[in-house]
Amino acid sequence: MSSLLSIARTGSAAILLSPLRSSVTVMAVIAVLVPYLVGIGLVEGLRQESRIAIGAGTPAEKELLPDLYVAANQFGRRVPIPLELAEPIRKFDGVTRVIPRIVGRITLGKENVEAVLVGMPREELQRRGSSIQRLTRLIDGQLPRSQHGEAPQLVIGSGLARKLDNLQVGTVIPPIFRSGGGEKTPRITGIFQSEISPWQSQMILTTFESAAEIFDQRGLATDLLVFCRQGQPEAIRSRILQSLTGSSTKAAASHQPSVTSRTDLESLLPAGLGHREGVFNLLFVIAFAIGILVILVTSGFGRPERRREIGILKATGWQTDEILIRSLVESLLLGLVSAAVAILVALAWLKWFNGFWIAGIFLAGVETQPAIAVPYVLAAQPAGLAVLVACLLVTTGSAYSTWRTAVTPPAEAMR
Amino acid sequence: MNRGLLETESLSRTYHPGTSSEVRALSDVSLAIPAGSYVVLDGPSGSGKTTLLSLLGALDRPTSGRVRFADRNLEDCSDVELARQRRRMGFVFQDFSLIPRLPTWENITYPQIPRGLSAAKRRQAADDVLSRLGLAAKADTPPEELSGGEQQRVAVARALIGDPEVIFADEPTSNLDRRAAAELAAILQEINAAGTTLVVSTHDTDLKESASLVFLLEDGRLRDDTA
Ligand SMILES: Nc1ncnc2c1ncn2[C@@H]1O[C@H](COP(=O)(O)OP(=O)(O)OP(=O)(O)O)[C@@H](O)[C@H]1O
Ligand SMILES: [Mg+2]
Repeated sequence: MSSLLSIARTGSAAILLSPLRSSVTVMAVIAVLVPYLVGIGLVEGLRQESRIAIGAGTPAEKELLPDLYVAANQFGRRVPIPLELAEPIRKFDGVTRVIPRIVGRITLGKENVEAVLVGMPREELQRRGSSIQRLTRLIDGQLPRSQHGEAPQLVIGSGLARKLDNLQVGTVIPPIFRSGGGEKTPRITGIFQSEISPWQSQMILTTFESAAEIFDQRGLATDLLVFCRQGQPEAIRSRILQSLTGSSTKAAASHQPSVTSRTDLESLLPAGLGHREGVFNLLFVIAFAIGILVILVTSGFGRPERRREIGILKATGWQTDEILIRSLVESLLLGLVSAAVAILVALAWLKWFNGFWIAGIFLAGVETQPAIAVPYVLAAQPAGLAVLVACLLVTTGSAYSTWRTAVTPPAEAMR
Repeated sequence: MNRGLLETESLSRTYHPGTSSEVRALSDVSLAIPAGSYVVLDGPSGSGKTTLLSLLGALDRPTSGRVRFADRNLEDCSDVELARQRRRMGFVFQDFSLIPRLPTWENITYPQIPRGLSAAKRRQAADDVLSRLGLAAKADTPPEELSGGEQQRVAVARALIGDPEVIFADEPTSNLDRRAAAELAAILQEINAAGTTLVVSTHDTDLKESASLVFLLEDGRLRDDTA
């Protein structure tokens, strides 16, 4: 037992005996692992982000996310939904809340910065601002209100604020151009933390009334968010479809409703991500194969010295199995070290370099240098897998040549 | 006939047999090395001295013939048993064959690691041997920072460390200047005087003078008059 320990100790010391070989091996493993870890970290982060966005997160968050999204279609296209359609739905049994929402695309300032304007009733904004920390964390100012005859008030993301010449609370925002061509000059009343998720980086929040004013679309909403009592959404969904389709009112007659449930979204989102993850796993298998080749080549670094060293050990009375244990310990430790460094590098890459380059593979519309803070989660499972892979790579890379040398007569190995 | 500590019988070694580069390095060598003797293997370059030492020291396997060490026939030994036999021997290589970057004391005691000796015990043993060889100050120096003569003495120290029954030395003075060679010759003689059998290949006349037995190799064969 104590001799096994002594041998194991020489295995760890052997890492420093051939520094070139060790460092080349560690680099090779890191080069294989880091892209994998960064990619998996991003995929996991996105998955979590999207789960929060659609409310699959905590119960508190769930409460703030609608069970149904009601939109309108005309000639098979999405069109604004008349606000009057909210009334009958509100009266349905099991419906707790119906919130009209306006979501529209605008450009801002001289730089023509693209953004998405979201308008919701003030009570709803308040509800969100106070409890969904991750979705709208105000870091400055207050939530917008609508006062008749005054300029619309906006809350914008901190990223966007920075892009727009460091906008401060209280300043008048550069002119907004909506797709219709009109121009408004609203005021900034608050700034929220937007670096949390890619979906929020371009978001501007305002009241429903202000949004309607900015887009000059009175009496219309982009969609209706319907909140239901538990277990009711499916029944209410079909009721909405029935009643609105067969409705006699003029507004309802010309609009075909489309209702999407949160469960639909929940099942869609991970599938979409899973697809990319699958591609990534395939890439990783290829990377692993390349990794083995790389390791085989790099293990050629210092191979003559290594042969001699093993020959010397054998000539001085070491047994083959003792030499193999020494080499195994060395390989496993090198694998551990490489995996640990790779995990640290991946974390740094995600945290400080913001997933530079690799994020572009996973996030549509994200450039090489992402402007938002990319979401990431480096879970124990991929980290553990990285350790396993690293050990496997290094061990397989050296096992064969070590064994071959260890069974050669020392006179030949030392030549 | 007095059975020697080491005995060979029609020992032959052919490198790359059956190929165009076939070399018959050793042919039909039969000799006996008595315990406690000081044996010198003499012969011109390429005559097979290193080959014979490797076979005697269980570092290589013969093409044909046999080597007996004490009570064992080496050709019958498994790989593990050969390793075990090697622990009863010490080998001083012509090129020293020390492990680079490893401090002298570690180099010397590396063979003892699989025996489970603690580092403190190994260090103590190394210090003892090193002071015997006048190298006490170099215990922590890696071989790259030692002179040729010092490296050679470290190699001798490593061969000595396990208290072997026999020490093989392959041209131990060929890489040394006259003074270092004389020093080493004195050390070897001392080791032999303490009872350890020595088998040394050399052209060095100093070493030959101390020998109790000289074998002359020529073209892989033993000259009749020396056997
Ligand atoms: N691994 C090998 N492969 C092929 N030929 C070899 C090998 N080792 C030694 N030889 C050849 O065998 C012969 C004997 O070599 P050996 O090294 O035993 O001679 P030596 O007496 O030790 O010579 P030197 O005094 O130069 O060290 C030489 O012709 C040499 O070229
Ligand atoms: Mg030789």
